[in-house]
Amino acid sequence: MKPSITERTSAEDKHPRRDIFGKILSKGGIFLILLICLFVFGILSPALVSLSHLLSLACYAAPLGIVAMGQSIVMLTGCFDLSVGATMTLINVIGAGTLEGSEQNLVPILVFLLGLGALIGFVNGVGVTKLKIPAFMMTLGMWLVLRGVVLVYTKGGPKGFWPSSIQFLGKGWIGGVIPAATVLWLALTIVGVYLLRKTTWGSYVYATGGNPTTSFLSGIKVHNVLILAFTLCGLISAVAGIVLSGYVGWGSFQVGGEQYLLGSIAASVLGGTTFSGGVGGLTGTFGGAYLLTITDSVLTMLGVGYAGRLIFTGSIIVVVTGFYEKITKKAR
Amino acid sequence: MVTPVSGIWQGNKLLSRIKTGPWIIYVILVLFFLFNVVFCPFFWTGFNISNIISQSAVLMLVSVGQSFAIIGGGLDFSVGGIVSLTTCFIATQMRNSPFSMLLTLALILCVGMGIGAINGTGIAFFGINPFIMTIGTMSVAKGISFVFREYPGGYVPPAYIKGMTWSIGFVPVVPVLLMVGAVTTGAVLFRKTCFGRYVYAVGGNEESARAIGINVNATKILSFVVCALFATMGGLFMTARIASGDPFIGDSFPLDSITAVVLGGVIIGGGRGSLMGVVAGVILIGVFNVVLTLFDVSPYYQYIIKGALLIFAVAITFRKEKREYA
Repeated sequence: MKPSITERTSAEDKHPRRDIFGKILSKGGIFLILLICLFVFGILSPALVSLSHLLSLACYAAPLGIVAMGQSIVMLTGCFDLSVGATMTLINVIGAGTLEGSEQNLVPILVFLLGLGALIGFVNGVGVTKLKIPAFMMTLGMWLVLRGVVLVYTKGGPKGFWPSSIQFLGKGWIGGVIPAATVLWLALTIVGVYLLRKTTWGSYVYATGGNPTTSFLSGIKVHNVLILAFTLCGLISAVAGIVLSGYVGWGSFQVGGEQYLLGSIAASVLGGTTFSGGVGGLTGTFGGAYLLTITDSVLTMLGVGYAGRLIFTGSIIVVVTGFYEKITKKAR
Repeated sequence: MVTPVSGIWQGNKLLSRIKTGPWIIYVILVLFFLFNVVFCPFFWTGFNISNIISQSAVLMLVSVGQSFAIIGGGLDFSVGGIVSLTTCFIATQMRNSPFSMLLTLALILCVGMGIGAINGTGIAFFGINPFIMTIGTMSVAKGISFVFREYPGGYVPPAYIKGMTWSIGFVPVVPVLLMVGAVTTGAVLFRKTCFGRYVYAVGGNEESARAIGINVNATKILSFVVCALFATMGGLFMTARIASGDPFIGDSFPLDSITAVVLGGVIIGGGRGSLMGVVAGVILIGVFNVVLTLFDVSPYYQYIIKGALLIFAVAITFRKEKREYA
């Protein structure tokens, strides 16, 4: 959007003290908050911070964490992807509907699903860059279309099952030590951090998010960077959809959806990826997704219903974004 | 970049109006209307037309409000949450006495405006992206409506329903009055008040608006308050229409209202467009919803068609503008 082109700067000039403050917050602040939360929860209920419980929470957090990675990458370029939740639902129902719980054709169907996710992201990217549609409008339309496709495909009811191997990926424990989903989540995060920090494309992503016009003028193919970011986001959403399907075990139009859309944005914001683009990273998102899941489970334990958690997620997004925007503004 | 002043008031008035006006949407609307009259036997019946009008009334109110947010350079997603919240609040709190009715009405209007003020404050003073700010408040408002009613239901006083849906023969008087009133109020606000012109100026170019001494922050906040107020009034009428409170009823409104506004020629990013087009956009969507049902299209396909319509509308309008790089 317009103002972003002129107003974007990261928290990196002038006041050294505020700079340090901002840096701590945007780099490792989330883990600090995570530790404090764990400490407080530990005092309230020691069973909550036992290793096995934390690990099973990490298993539950994996789909959210994975989809939040995709969201963060797109947000680093200064856009959003609102179709991530709907992509997860689509992957869930199509996989369940075609596999019907059998292991036959598992690999080709998985490849097809991943390709489908990437294709959705690619279409988003092309719409945003070549057709010059604002990202949130494009992905909003995509969200509606995908939701329609899901409803037409399932006819508004449950649809099929996922085979046990995928269910193991979603909720199984490798050797009873660590959940498979958590391992996948960690591995993907490491790959993502590598891609963003060590490859040229990664630095292009930060440059594009920081200032698209300058990036364009300095010879970066901004369109290609954006298309690749969106495609990657779609692909990652598909992976998240598969992991979530493994956890749920069956296909339904209610799996995934809005909850994961809001959650992915909240996790990215908590992790320090701001909306103006170019600032943040995937390690923060990792912590953000985990923190969200922990607080969510605590809220559930306290007997707070769906209503309370909606209010909570919404307020988190608003308050934390406002906080970060203030910090970056002050630092300028 | 968007040029700072809307083209409507420059040069030869009539000619430039025809050039920049939202006439395409009216042509589409008329063609679509004729198509339906010819091919759909039930379309041109008194009952169906009055049904379309009642259905469009809520969307009209919400979309007029949404125009303020969008022309001012923002976007309001929380309108859906506000509509849901209003229906749930009225259906649980309103009792069958005039005093209680007035009190609940006053309360919910204040709550609506409060949500708008929060949106505006976050966007203007904290610099939060409007989209994120309002998606956050939408989630909060929806959560609060769940607190009032977890599932559709509740009690709405019959007198309230009767008053809100009063009609003579096939003519739904109150919806028509509401629609005309909303559009007139909106148009007067846009064209005859300083605030309306400031909204265009701020949406067109925030920096220049600030430079010429417009209180940008106040304008932004006020535009979101007006938006939320219209959405609340839409919710009030919706309550009477469904005669209950429903925390899910508002879910389609953010998208429908944005689509209507964009179809009407208002450009996302602000500063351009008028309520003339928005009216046509709302009626088009209203007719569209009803006709899909009349042609026996599964409601599930409506999502696909609406999503495609949204992308199409934005793609078309944005082709007119030249943006620098992407």
